[in-house]
Amino acid sequence: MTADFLTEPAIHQEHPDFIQKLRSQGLHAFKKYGFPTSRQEDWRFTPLETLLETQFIPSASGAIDLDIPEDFLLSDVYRITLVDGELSPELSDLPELPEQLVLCTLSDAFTDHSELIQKYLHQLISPAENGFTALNAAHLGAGLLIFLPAGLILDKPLHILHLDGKGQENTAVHLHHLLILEDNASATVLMHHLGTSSQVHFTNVLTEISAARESRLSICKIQDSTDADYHISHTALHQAEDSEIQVFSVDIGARIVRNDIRMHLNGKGSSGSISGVFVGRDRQIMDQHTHIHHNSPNGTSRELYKGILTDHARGVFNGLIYVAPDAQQTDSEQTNRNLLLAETARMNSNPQLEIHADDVRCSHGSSTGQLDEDALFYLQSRGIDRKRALALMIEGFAGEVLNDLPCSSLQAKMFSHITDRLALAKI
Amino acid sequence: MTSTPLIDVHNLHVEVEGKEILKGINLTVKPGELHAVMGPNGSGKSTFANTISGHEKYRITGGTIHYRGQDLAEWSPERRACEGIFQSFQYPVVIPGVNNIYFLKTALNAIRRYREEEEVDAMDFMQLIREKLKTVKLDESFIHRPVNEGFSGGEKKRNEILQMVTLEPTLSVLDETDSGLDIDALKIVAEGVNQYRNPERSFVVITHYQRLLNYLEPDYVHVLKDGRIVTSGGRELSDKLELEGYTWLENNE
Repeated sequence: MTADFLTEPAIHQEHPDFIQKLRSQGLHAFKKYGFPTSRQEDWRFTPLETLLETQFIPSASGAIDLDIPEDFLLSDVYRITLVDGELSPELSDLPELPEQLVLCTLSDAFTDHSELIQKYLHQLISPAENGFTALNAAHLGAGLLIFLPAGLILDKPLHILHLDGKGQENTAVHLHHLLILEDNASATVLMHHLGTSSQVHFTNVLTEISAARESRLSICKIQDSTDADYHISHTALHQAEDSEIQVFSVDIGARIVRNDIRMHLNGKGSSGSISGVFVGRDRQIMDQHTHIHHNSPNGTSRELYKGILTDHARGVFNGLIYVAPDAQQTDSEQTNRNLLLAETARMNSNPQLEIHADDVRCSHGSSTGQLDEDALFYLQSRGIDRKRALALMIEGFAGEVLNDLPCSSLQAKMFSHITDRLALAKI
Repeated sequence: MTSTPLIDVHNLHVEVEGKEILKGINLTVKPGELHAVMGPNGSGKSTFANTISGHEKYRITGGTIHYRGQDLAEWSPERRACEGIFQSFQYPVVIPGVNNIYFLKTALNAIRRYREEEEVDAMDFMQLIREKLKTVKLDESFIHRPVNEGFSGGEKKRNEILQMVTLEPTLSVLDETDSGLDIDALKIVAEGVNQYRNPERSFVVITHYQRLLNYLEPDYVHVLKDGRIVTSGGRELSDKLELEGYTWLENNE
């Protein structure tokens, strides 16, 4: 079964040794462990059978003949577009990028920024972490390097648009992004996966983020793939002293989604937030795993994760807050709220606290329920019809996350997109 | 000269979760009138209010409610609102994440659409709402907060009156709008209602105490007990209840 997924990576003589080594580590790990199975606790709710039954072919480089949907031509951003993992200069728009910024494909970085990436590549996510990370490492090559040297403040959001649609059936896209902020650097990055084609895609993306002292980052991942796709994502973040990161995660599309976010507050006084919303309909599976590790004193973390499920959709929230023995004065709050719009929708929520320090303030809460009928009646009693009242409440529910998205034009589109999708599901 | 009743309730029986709460209510309210419905706890006051608004939990098992000559029974809650019926709730609910201003504008435009009137745009609505806020003495920050979230008891009730004066209903049913209010908030609410009164608009004011009625000048006072109106009269009836309490009714039976 696993062999179908592996095409022996080509040996590129010109790539540095450490790259070849990472690839072969990935290859060996994948051959040894294969894909995770539902017998593994951490993958209990992620049924991978349909994914494994499909023979996916790595995307071939080739002509790109498509346009960015007009709705997503955001103004006032730097835009870089990847189509099935391959950079499309024609669909990118990068005027007057700050000179000090390094923005290039990972494969270019193998030769042009070899020393730099060697320090960061696969440092936060081991190739052997699981079958997907192994497979990803074995195919190491596609993805982006984004490097902000000390003090660089990116004046506009960087919109990284991932489109599908080279027309190849059952395409596998393995991506590895490196986002590095040196001391005092600051950026807003929108990582946006947009499905437009009718072909099935399997996207397997690793994102390693390193934020040095007093750097600031807003990173927003929007997954809006087509309904037949598979999307496996693993994001890991390292935060140094007094750094601040806001992570937003929006999952709307794909048949099966597995989204891991691991935030490591390694430096004293660092603060991080994770705000997530996922929307599932039909038989979508939305499997969300987050870890926040407080490894140093005086760290702050906030997590708000919201799920909306209808039809036979299924959601998982598995959120761990870990506080290391010397991470005193940690201040952490975690909340997971889920809305079930149909009796057939299901949610498994598993918030966990693991605290090894004694002087901390940590709280967590989780709730799953239906829309409040009294609130619906209240809206109706003011003249708002039931369908609009439902939409209003769902917008309000998702709004507690989406209202803070660091790009207002994208925010408005997300709201209408979510209500459209749920209206299709006949709520 | 007698005008047509705005609302005409005839021998109304209502069940809640299989239990009969209203056992034959008769009440006729004409345009411009303010009727007070008083009664002890559990007498069916809120059931009466919620039945008029169309909450599906309240099932009419007998009798009729006619509004402007039309039977209400089959109307959805939103249709009732669009036709000019408004309830100020005893316990206004929180609508998480929905801003008060967005909610009010959505409601006003829903009603205007129903009436085939032009919708109000954001700018005009802002101007309108600033005027209305003055009526209930609330500041502007209030409308940018989620509906009723973190509002004090008094703010919730003033928010109900704000909705009333914005949506401009013909029949307003105020369900214990005075409960939980301090004297200042009570006066603000009463002033809001008094300013809103005119010869076309009618009110059913439901209350346990008569203190709100000190400011409202009811035309009629009805006493509800065990699902029936046991006595009706003028203003003097509420004074009597204030002095003698609801036990006076028992002694009178």
